Amino acid sequence: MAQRSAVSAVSHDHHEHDHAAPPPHGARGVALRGAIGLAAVAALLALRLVADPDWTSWLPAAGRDLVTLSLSVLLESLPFVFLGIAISILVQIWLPDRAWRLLPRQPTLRRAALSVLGVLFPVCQCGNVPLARGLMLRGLGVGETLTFLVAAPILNPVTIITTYQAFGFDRGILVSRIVGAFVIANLVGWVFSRHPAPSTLLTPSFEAACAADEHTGGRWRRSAESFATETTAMLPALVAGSFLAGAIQVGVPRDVLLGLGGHPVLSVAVLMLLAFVVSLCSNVDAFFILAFASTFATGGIVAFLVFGAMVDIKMLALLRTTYTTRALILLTAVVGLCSLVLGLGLNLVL
Amino acid sequence: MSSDSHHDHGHRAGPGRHVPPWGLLLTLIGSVSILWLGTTGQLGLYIHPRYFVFTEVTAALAALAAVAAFAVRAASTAGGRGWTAGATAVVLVLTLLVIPPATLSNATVQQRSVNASVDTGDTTKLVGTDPSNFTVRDWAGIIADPGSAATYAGQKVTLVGFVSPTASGAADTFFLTRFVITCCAADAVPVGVPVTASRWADTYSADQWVKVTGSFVPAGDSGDAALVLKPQTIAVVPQPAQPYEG
Repeated sequence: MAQRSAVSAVSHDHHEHDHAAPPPHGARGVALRGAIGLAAVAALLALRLVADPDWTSWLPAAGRDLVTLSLSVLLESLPFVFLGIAISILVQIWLPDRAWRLLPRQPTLRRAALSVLGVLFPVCQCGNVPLARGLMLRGLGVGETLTFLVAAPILNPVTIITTYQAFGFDRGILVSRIVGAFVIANLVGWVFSRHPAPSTLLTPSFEAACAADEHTGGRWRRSAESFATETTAMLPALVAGSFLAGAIQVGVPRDVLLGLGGHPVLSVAVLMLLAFVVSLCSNVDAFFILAFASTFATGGIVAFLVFGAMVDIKMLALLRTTYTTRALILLTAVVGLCSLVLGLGLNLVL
Repeated sequence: MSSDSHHDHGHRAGPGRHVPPWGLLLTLIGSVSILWLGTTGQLGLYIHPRYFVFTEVTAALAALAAVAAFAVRAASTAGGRGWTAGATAVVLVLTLLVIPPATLSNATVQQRSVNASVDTGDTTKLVGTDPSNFTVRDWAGIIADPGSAATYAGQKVTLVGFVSPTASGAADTFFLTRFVITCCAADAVPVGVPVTASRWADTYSADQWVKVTGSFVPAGDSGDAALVLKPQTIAVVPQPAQPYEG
């Protein structure tokens, strides 16, 4: 475990900690820890099998629905987060350096290229967060990764196909969504590239991870470390975001929101709020909003499809692992304003 | 995790700060519960069936990766503080492994209003096809659209759904309700067909699953629906394996 000692030499204060639990060496240690891991799986499964419904029968119906709603957001996103972590590990550790030289050097062109990178990685927004972290560890700038994060959920084949299936070319919804995403993503990238000290937009713990990215150990070893690091950073944020989304859905009566559907200005804001709260995957949100298509004007639908794919509760919780609150407020403000303008503009023109 | 508390003020630790790999435990909790839900046929309470295979395969691979990473002592080199991850583990164990899986109930129906967003655009495509295949959502669209509804007055049907009181709490009408989901339960939209049954609340309760056989008859001038379902029989049935329409 050479790299462990190298690392603990850097952080002196962890010496006692490391001494308290000396790493078991060799194949026996690995087999032992593998057996402990499998035992943990068995223990979790056993708990599920013995858990009695009577233990929680006192929960009120609204409480149960809160749990069901939150878990549905979580279970829907979880595989995409795992997939995003896997792709992030591929990009960070397995992709040869020369692949990065294909990106243009000129900043505007470089961001434009990154905004269509989602075509290669068709995971939806939550999977893109670990991927963006991997890109930054690989040396991409803050503005550049935000361009990717904002664009990729929409400018990818799965989202484009599902939006086409839902709306076809009706009312310019598909084209507005694609063009809007491209323009907003590049605007976001440009705004953040003007920041004098981009590294202050990152959370200290992620900055530390960037600094700690020593190339020690074999690729498999580093992949395992990366999987442990990313799941430790992402999953608490994903769970918090899912439960927050569930709680707000229980708290805000939806018919109040939808009652505002006919208003040309308010309806755009209302659908953006709905997108923010529901925290759907960009791959499928078109089908969801299709049910409201007869109630709402085109501008609101497009604002829902553009804003919701870029920023929502679950997404902000995930992004908070990496970007500071100030950066996220700026991001939300830029994306929100642009989506609002896009939606209102469409309502005026159409 | 005591080392964490020392470090908080100095914020964070330079490179190489080692956090126990809580993420691996969280991965195992999520994966085990997805695989259990999938095996027992309950994953549909949360997500649309089109994602079952993808979700289960990813969960199985993630569980394997987590056990393997734990076996080789992979540590987390950055990321969340220990207490956040620990609290997350507790919440996940309670909600995924202790509380029994449940479908959405009338608490959510009331919150989202039955038929608030029925898309009648599709309804015209139904006319002329076999009405015995129509879902509750299809019927909700038909009876909301006077043009289509005229075609189906007198139509006999058998529908399964759960009992919801009407918004006004009518004593002689309940909604036979289903949730429609496109992605996951978070986007569920309740749709329903009004069923006339005087003093229904004496026999049936909200959230009870029923199978109603009867025929559609023109509604009085009250309400949004052009047709209501007049039952011949109402049978209490167990909750279907796939409670949502999708």
